[in-house]
Amino acid sequence: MAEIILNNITKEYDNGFQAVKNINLEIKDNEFVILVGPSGCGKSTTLRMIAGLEDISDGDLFLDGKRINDVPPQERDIAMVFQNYALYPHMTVYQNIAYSLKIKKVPKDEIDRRVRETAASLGLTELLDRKPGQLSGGQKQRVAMGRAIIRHPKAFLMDEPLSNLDAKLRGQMRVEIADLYQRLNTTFIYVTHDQTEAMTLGTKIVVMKDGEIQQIDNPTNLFNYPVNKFVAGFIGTPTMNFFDAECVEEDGKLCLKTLDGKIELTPEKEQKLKEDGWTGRKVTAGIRPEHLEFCTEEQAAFKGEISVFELLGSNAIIYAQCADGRVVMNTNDTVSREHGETVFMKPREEKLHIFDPETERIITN
Amino acid sequence: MNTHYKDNRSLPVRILSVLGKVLILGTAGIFTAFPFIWMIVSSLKTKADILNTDIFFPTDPQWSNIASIIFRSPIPRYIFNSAWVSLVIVGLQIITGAMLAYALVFLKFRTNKLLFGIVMGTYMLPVAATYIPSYIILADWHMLDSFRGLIISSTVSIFGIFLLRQGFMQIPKGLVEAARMDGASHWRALWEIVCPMTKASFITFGLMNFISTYNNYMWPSLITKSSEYFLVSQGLRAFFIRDGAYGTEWALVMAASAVVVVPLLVLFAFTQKWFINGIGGETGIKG
Amino acid sequence: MAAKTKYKRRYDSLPTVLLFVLPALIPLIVFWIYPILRSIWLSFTNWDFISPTYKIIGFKNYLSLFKNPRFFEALWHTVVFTAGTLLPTIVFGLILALLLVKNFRGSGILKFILFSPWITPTVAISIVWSWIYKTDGGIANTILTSLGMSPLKWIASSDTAMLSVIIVTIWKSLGYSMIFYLSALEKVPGELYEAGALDGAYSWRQFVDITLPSISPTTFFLTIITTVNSLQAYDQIQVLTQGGPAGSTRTLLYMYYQLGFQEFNMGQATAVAVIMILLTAGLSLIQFKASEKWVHY
Repeated sequence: MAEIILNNITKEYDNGFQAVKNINLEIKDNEFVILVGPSGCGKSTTLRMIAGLEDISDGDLFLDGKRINDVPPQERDIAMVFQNYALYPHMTVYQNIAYSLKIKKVPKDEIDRRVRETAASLGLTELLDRKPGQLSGGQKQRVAMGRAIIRHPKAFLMDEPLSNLDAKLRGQMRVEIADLYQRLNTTFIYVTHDQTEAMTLGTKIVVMKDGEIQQIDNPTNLFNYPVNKFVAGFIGTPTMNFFDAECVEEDGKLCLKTLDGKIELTPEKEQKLKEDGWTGRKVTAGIRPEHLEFCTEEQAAFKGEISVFELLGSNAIIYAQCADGRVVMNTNDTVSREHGETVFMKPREEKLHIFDPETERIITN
Repeated sequence: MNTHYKDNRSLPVRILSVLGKVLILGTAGIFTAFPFIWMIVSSLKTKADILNTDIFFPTDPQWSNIASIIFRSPIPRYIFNSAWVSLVIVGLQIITGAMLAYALVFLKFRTNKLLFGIVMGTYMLPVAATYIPSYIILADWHMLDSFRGLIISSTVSIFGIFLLRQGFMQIPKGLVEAARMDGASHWRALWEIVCPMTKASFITFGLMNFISTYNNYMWPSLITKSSEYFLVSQGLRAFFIRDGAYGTEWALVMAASAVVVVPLLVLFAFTQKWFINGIGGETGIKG
Repeated sequence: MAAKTKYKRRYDSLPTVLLFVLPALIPLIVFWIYPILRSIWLSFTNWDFISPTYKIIGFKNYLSLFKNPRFFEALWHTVVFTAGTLLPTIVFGLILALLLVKNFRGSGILKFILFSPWITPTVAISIVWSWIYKTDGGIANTILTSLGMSPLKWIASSDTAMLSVIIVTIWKSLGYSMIFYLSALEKVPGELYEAGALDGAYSWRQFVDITLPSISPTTFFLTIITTVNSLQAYDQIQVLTQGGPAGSTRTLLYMYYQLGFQEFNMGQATAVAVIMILLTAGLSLIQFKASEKWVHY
């Protein structure tokens, strides 16, 4: 139920280090926004500035049109779920969940009703009298969410809420969070370093690196149309294959020359490269493992020997040692292959990404 | 590393070492306990017994000595004075100390480090050096010879600030942040989140400062002159040098000391763990 | 470091900070910081407490102190007293802790007994000691004679009075240093004390190489605390000897008390206070500097 706008927000520490550099972000009402990036990219700092736990060095932060830079956290009506849950160890689960309402002086019977309601929706009813020390990781996680939900806040902030859970539980809680978002219909801002989590949960993903926003987009666009090499490499597993290639003109047609062979280009890509004057120059090309296919020796862009073969059931991952380095392929062809076997691969032309090797920006997707 | 040393020395050596240990601990124990024991047995002696040091235990226990201290001397009044003045002082010290420690650990402000430096610096200073000007201040405020003056000049405990700061630093910052997100002000976060989590530091602080305020002598004796405002140490000394008691009424003096000391020993017996764990464990002494 | 920044820092709001800081800071300023500064100021005056006016007389108070043999006597007594209490308190405290670190039947009671002097009023217990020290009919002399030694005059003679006060002070502070060492020893890795300090299964080398370095922060802390406490010892001196006989137990602090609150020579008294402050600061500084060599955090 809130619209949050970050306007040229910067965070600079006393030692001069800029954790967040001049970022702009518009979060609409009821949006599920995910801040994702490697550690140290400034995503948590951004979240903590929205929460009010970290002061804003420069720029403006608006909540529903009101500038809240100087509003203390307890007056922002925003709830936050912390990475290590931050449950009050001396209070029971009931008291933990009820604490914010107690502060607001909500009548006792209403507190009781809402605590029980919240606990029931999270499956915590049995645990209300326990102390946090007696709970498992997943249960603590639910209590932390209950503590946030009960307030009906304007926005939910979640700081790596699943990173302390084991893989199985993480998957399960991910579904629960998605479900929660559907039910609550409130603005969510979610921080994670895990791109899978980001891709499965978010409707709007903000990729950050070194304190700067790289790209803001939905999962499909991020995956298909990365704006630079960093985003292309960060999103998707296994990671995109990058290799150097030369734009050469053969018989009036532009193609990319790799060490092992050449890659045909789609007309759109060809035109774009020509227009921008890349003919005869080196570019960085990228292709996702799932967009490689087997081919004949003549067609091959990559020739290599298999170093690792992983069969994952419906698909298989092949790591091959090629002249361009290690190339990873994700294929539906699950025929078992031997270590050392030679494979020939080529990219699907329409899925090829071409980057400027200097700026690492995208030339054409 | 959890090495167990097998004691493979010969029997006589082992016996000797145990004997040595018993001897040292026994001597230290007797040396320490003796004045207490001597105080208690002396307090029950008759005038004749007390002058004859060959008699250790009283031949005819004079319970009336104790009774006369409890019912017909000002000592109970001094104990009462000490007790309630100390309670008030410690209460104030806990509030001021907890707030300053909270500010040092959880608040962000420009002079945070400077403030800690000042507190740290005063910790090392000899308190007595402040007595003359403090005396003048109390005189100017017409608070000499009053409980008010005693209390108002002792509302801060630097030791306590250190103790609490040490305890507060163990609390993950996230908990205070969570409380802030839950809508709690700093004030509530201090008393509803931080304080319950550092209960042990608070109890140690309370007990240690209660004892030292209760026992305090020099400063109270400088600013209070009427016996109705005496704390126990000053009262006891007045009783000790009073005409008649000094030199002749040793049994009564010992009885008075016993009446003062024994309740403290009982209090200590029940609260020992807070002193021992608190002093050694939570004052931030590493090693 | 400290790169100049164009950005404004935001801190917790000033009213909040003041609310949390002032309740302690105001008394701290009024009864600690201001008095120290005032003491320094007064030490340059000839104020006698009664007169409404006084003159600034420069360093005269200090000069007359430095000409006064009483002052150097008191300084010497302070040094003797501090050294005489510091060393035994630390050494015996450590020995007792070593013997008690492993629990055995009765160790709890022993810890209780050894620590109990610390919680009892010094005045009460000094009164008991003055009775023990009595020249005729005091139990101390009875014990000495029964052991075949000649009786001492204890607090009644200037030869033994300082020793008597030191004994009481050690008696009182032994338990305190023992408690600190106990908790430090418990944190020393490995059960090096398995067999106890006295039976050679635990060797002297291990003690010097492992134990002493790992408890050195505690030793450092106790050295400072005991020094500061010794410089400020008053209660036991006041009850046992009042600085006598013949000034043999008059320390700087006691001299300060006599000058200020008996003779009302505020100028000289505060001059002594300032010297005490300098002494404490100097000793702490030396100990801090020295600690870099032998304290292993």
